[in-house]
Amino acid sequence: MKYLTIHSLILRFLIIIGIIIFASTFLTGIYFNKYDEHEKRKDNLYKIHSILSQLIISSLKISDSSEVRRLLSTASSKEEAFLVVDNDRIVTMSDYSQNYFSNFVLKNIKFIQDCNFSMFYKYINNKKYLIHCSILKNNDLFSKNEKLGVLLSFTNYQWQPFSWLMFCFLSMIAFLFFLSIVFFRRILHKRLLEPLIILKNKITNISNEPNTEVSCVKGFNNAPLELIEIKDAFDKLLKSLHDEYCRRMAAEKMQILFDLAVNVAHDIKSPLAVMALSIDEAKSHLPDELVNIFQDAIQSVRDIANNLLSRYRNTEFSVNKVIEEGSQAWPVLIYSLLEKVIHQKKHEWRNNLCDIEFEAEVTCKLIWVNAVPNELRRILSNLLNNAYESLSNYRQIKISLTLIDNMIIISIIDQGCGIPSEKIPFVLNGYSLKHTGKGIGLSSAIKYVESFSGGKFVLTSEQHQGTQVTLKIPYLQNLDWFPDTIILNRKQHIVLLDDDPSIHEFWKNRFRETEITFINFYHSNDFLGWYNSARDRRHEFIFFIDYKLSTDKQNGIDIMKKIQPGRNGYLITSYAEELHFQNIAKELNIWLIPKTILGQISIRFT
Amino acid sequence: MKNFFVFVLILLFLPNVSNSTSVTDPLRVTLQPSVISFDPGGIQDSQSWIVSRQVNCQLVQNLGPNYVLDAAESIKYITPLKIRLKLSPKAKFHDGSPVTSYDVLASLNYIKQSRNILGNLFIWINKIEIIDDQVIIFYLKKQIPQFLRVLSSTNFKILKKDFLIKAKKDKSLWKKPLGCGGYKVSEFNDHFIKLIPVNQGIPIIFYLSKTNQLNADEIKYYDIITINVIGNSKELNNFNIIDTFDPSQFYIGLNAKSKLWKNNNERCEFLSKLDTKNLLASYGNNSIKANDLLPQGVLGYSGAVDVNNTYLSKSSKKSLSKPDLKAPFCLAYLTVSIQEIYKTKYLDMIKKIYPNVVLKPIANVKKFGKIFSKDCDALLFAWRSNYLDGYEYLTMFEDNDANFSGLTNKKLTNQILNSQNLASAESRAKAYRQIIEQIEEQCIVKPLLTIPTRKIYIRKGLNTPDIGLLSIHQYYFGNIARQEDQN
Repeated sequence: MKYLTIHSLILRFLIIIGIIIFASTFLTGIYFNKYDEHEKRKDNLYKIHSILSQLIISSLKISDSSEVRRLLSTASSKEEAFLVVDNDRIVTMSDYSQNYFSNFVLKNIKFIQDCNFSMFYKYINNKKYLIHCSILKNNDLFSKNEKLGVLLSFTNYQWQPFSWLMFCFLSMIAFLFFLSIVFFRRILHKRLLEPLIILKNKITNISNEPNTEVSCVKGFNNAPLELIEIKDAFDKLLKSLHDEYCRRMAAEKMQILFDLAVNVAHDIKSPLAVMALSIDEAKSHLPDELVNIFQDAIQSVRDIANNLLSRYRNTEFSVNKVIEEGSQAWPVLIYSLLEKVIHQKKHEWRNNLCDIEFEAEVTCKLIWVNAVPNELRRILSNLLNNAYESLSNYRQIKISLTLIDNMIIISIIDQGCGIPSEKIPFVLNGYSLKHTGKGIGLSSAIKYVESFSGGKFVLTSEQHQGTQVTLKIPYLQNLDWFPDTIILNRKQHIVLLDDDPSIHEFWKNRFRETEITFINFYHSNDFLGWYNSARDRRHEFIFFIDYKLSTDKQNGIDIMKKIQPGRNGYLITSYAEELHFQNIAKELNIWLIPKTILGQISIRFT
Repeated sequence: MKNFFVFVLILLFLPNVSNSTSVTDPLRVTLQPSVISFDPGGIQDSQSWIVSRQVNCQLVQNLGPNYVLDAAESIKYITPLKIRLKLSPKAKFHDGSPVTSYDVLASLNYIKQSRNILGNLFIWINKIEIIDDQVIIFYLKKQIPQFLRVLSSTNFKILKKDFLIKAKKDKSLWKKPLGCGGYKVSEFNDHFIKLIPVNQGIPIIFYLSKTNQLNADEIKYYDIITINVIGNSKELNNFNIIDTFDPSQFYIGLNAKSKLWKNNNERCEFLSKLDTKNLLASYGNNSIKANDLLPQGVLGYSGAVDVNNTYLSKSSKKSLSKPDLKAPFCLAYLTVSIQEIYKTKYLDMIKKIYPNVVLKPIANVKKFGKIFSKDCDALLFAWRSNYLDGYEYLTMFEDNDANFSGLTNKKLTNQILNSQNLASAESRAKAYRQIIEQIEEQCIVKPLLTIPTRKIYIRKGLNTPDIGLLSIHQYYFGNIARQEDQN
């Protein structure tokens, strides 16, 4: 739709008014020109009468009709006739076929002969004529102004000053002008004022009830372009304001939740400490495996609580950031994440165990995917729950991790009850077969997996045979901070800082058959003391530094920041999957090795 | 039997009474009672002029106040006294032969020799020189501003030289003259004259009225009516009526040699006693009482005089000897002037004075003066102007065959002729007044009534260009056309 601008609206009005003014001026000009012409014609008629009278008198007094007719013929034209009426009522005219003039004269002979009138109009033979008369007097010395007759002229000239026609014309002009004003007022009201009132009402409503559902401003169809632009901008502003309002409301809710979570994290520490102490005391009476699980779980909960608290204490913390992080994706070690989920599920289902068989190719253990960890974890957890719930007699779930064409394939296979083929579309669309309203997990899993570039979610199922769910996710390659292989120069020495002697032993075993020499440190102070002395030769060393030095105040990151080893530095931590650590690694340009896959990373010498 | 054939002939040529009219149907025109003559050497009445205008051509014609060339291709004043006239090669006689200088000269000579009035043109011309077949030069005696005006009057027709020679011997040839106008005579009898166009135009039939009047119901048979229409009829709605200024004046002239009056005073007394009241009434509203020897609108007319008062004053100077009222009174009248229906009115007018009055018609208009003056006491005649000049009315008082008075006055004749040498209209008017005073002194003529205008009824649907500009007898009917949808 083409919109008018205010400028063009005013321009149109000006053009219309201009046309009316021009037309009225033009027509009035014509009128007054005609008026002037008419006055001149009257003057001319007086002159013609005067001259013609003088000429005719001399012929009339000797009754020279031929000459009189010649003179009348000379003065007459198509639109003007002259005639002479003598004292004996004889009419002399140039063309006697115009007998309607002579008839008029003879009918009004007394009036005509008196010639006691000024110019007047009269309809003769269906035409309007201006009639003028002048007395022909013999003005020679001896005649004593004897009257010889009258000279009459009939001028066919349509003119009436201030006639009803002129009145109509002026009325029409005034009416047109009035009409144009009314029209413009209406246009202004409809196109300018009405949209402005709508806009004002909308602003008033929004200011009174900011939480009102935002809808587009309507009723602007005929508004000028400028107002349309204002309206569009206003719509955009309203939407932004509303979104911001909603975000703030959500953030406030989150803040409350987060505060609650922080309180929980804080308050949970004491029971965790009791649980850790109790397990420590009871570990001699429990199987090692169960103790390990308990300890891992307690540590996990403690890590979560600590993480939550540390973030809360961080001065740069904000709820929005947390929310942002909550939906932010970063590199996740898929094998590690899957292994943790499986571990939790095993513990969760310990009372009604099922056989979970997890197979992963070696290469898959070093694969990172760019995902939202919690989301991926939740999805995998839900899928495993689905598989578990479908199990009946044969209680086994097979999980495999394979690499195909730069994609990592996660397969979850159960031999449960399966899904009837006709119900698969419903299941994929979020309907649960067992719990009404809980099937949303599958549809959100599909949506999330397919949000990856090339990501694919495949569900195949056969009733009473089982179900296979396959997640196809692209994986990350050539991460700046993760070494697929540790590359060493045989002349280099490895400097190892870790508070755990078993780690020292692990590295020693891995390099047993090489000529690589180790310089081992258990405390940061010792290391830093040595490092200050060997600073000039630091390019000869490879630094393997643990993040968590339980006996020291400084951690591995603090050390890395001090020595700035660059690509010769390897930070070894269980927190490598956290974005914070990955960012620090990128920032310091060092390598980051998760503790869980230390044994999987190959070593190559140059 | 003879009457029966005449009746059948009339029926055949009666106007078409059918309502529908074709564009080529003849134009039906009425004429007043008249003896139509195509001979320009005689005295033609106005009805003869009307017909003659269609048949004959002239060197130059009138069109209202202007002159238009007819047979002449050009007229140039080489000097004020030398006029070179070249004939148009398109001008041809009805036999197809071209109009030559010799024909023009022969025609002018014929008119000069045959006609004894209106000789003013010839007294102005010193000589006519023929340069070749197409070129003539007029040499004038003096400057005459009105030369072309007179030449353009209806009096100067051109006829073929050979025809004029033959017509001198055989007068019957004038029934079908060899003219050079747009029409030629197809049939000529006492009832109608049929003209057919030479090249273009619609045929014309002129119907000669017996009574000079027509009932309104009868006008449907005609297209142009120049006679009186009596009564009222719806048919009048199909006609336009125009009043052309075409003055004619009726006179009574006295034979000075009559024994009924011994002197001027007795003639004056007789003339002053004439009561024209009933006569005027019979002519209707169109007529007015004449006050001057010249009718109104004619150069020289004076509204200030009244001829009746003049005659009355003259008659009262000396009482009359007892007139012999029982004596027979011969009242002659020109048949071309006085229609039959009005004769009795004139008769009644005279009877009031001389009961034993008898009427005597005079059809020979060429020498009517001479014929009348032999044995009649008074003469009724009418005179119509051709170019509205007083000379046309005074010419009959010259010493010629038209002079009815029996008084010949060389001095008056010279005075009349000499008036034509006056270039100024005002001088001529003064001269006419002096002549009129002398004529009135003789008490030999009295104007009775004037009919200043002539009513012409023109059928609607006829295209008649310029008909109002000139008298009907000067109008060329060949310009008239019928419109397609005319009924």
